[in-house]
Amino acid sequence: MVWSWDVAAEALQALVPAYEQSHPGRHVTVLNLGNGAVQQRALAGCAAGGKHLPDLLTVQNNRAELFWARFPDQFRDLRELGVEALKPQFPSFAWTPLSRNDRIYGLPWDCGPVVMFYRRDRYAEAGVDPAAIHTWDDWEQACQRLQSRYGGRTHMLVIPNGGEDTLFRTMLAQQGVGYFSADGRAITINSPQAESVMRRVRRWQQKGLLGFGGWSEEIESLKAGQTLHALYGGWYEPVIRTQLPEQSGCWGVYSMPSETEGGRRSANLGGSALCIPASSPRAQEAWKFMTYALASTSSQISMLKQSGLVPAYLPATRDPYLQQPQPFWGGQPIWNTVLRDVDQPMPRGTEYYQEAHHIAATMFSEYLAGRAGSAAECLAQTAELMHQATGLPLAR
Amino acid sequence: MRSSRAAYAFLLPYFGIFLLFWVGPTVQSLLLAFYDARPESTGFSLVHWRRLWNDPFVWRSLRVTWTILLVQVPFMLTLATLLAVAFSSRRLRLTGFHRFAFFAPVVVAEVAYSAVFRLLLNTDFGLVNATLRRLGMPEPAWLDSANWAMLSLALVMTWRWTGYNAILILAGLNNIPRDIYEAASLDGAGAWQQFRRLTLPHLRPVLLFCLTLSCVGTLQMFTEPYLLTGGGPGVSTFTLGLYLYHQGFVSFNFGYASALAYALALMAGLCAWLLLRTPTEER
Repeated sequence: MVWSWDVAAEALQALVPAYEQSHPGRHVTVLNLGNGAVQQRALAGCAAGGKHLPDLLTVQNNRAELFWARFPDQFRDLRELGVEALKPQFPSFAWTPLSRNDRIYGLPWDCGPVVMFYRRDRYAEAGVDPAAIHTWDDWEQACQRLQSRYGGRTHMLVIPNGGEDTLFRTMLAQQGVGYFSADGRAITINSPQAESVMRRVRRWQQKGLLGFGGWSEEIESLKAGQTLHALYGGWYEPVIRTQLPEQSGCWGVYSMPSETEGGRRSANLGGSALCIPASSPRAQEAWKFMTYALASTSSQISMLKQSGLVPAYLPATRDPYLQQPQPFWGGQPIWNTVLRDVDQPMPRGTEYYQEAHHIAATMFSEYLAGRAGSAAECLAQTAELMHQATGLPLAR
Repeated sequence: MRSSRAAYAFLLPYFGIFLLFWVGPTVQSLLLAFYDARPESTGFSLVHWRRLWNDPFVWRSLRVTWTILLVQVPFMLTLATLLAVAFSSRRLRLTGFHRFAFFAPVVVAEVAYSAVFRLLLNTDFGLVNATLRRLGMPEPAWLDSANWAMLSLALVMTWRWTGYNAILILAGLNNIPRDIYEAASLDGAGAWQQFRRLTLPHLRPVLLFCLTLSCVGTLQMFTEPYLLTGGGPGVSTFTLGLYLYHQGFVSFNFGYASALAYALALMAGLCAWLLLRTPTEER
């Protein structure tokens, strides 16, 4: 029994028939519970002393540390099953959120290199050359041009209003900054980088480049051609491809614009892993399926094709498939672009991620609504709230 | 004595369940509220209560609650009273149908109607704005700007609960003896005077009851803001119920969630006590 969510569950499910065929007598059930439900049910199961937990649990990297911090005995130390032999096959940063006190609790699955998905056809019509976009300033100018051509009702990006701060987090991660320091012992959100990102996003909002909406509103807006970009990890590829089949050939991908000329053009956000609850009586079998799915090039490439999950497994990132042109994307070999900087570390989540995330998302939304003062004031308050919530000191 | 023993024996299963699933968790969450469960903690601690007092999210969410209490609840109860009077009117035909139609929203699952309202009120694609666009009127960002989001929430709450309150008030209306109206008519009192001097004073107990229910309900409000606005934009529709859920089930900070739950229960209790101790009979 595996608990997973959405595209990840579908990708895993697609591997099951071949696995069962090559491992007679084994039977794998993948349960697609949805992201929030997996986390909440798993926490409840851990709190109940390991009741009603699956044999394999999907955890999101930035939220994973809560499990090991609060319930170290509820998960199997994968070193007992031989995970150490696999360590060099994954980027070293991928192990950070999955380890605690020398124990290793999870095997990395995918990572979240972020790219800009854009409407290739609209760019061409408006005479905007994506190759000429290097920095966020370039992007802003291009967007204004697109907007003057397509009118004020056309958005450049859709962002959620409250509850999520993905855009803010993505642009911060690009500069190597997150809520917490790399060792997870201090709050680093109040930084000059964050201030400049906030001011930038506010300016976009004031210029009318941003629309507001949740997950489904965003897809609807993309479908209606009212939003021309999406800024997400590679996992958003199948969302566009499968939800907007009528827009085949209309989309393309380029690297994230950088903060400054010549700056970093990527960010790594998200990604997930599989772990084995200690209560599972089938740890050996679970481990077998886990390595079959995650530590094998053919499985990882199959999941990339099916669900756009960008492999954390390094041998898979050298597979020739990544160089192939993709028909939906106008023949662009998009995975090449997505994987350009896959070994870039991601910001530390820590066990306090959820609280910090809630505070940051709310304050960011308050700032955009003009109710949190200047960017500097908003960040100072955000950091103070995080300090109250977590007890961690503010970084100097 | 023997018969009372049998009665207690019949009640035993209930008390067992009550102790196990009600008293048990209530006591445990009280303990949790005074216990810092974070890894580096020392056990008994007032940390959650200190945080509660200084937490701007708590104060902001209380402001949301108060806005609903002071604006939406009086509006809804006025509307419900007028509806109840209309329902009891002899001139109204198809009374049963009307009563059912206004009561029906209570039967619809909260999740279902919240989802429907979310679709209706979508700024770009919602039916409401599409209609306004056709009519050449301005299209508000129903769920994406602070004041409109608050108004949307109030509208949804009103849609859902007005009929329910109207039925409660109607029951109160039916309890008012008819003969006092006849006496008033003979004394020359008009319809408005009868409503003001007879109906309203007699409805006082049931109105207070409705007000108490609405206050407690508003303090605990969770589903509508969770599904409609996610508490946003920013914290403009963020309620204490949402915060409690977030602390408990998302951040897994059950200590703080318990403190919040107790604060909420205390406020609701205080509210109910204050309202129910106001004298209900005009002397």
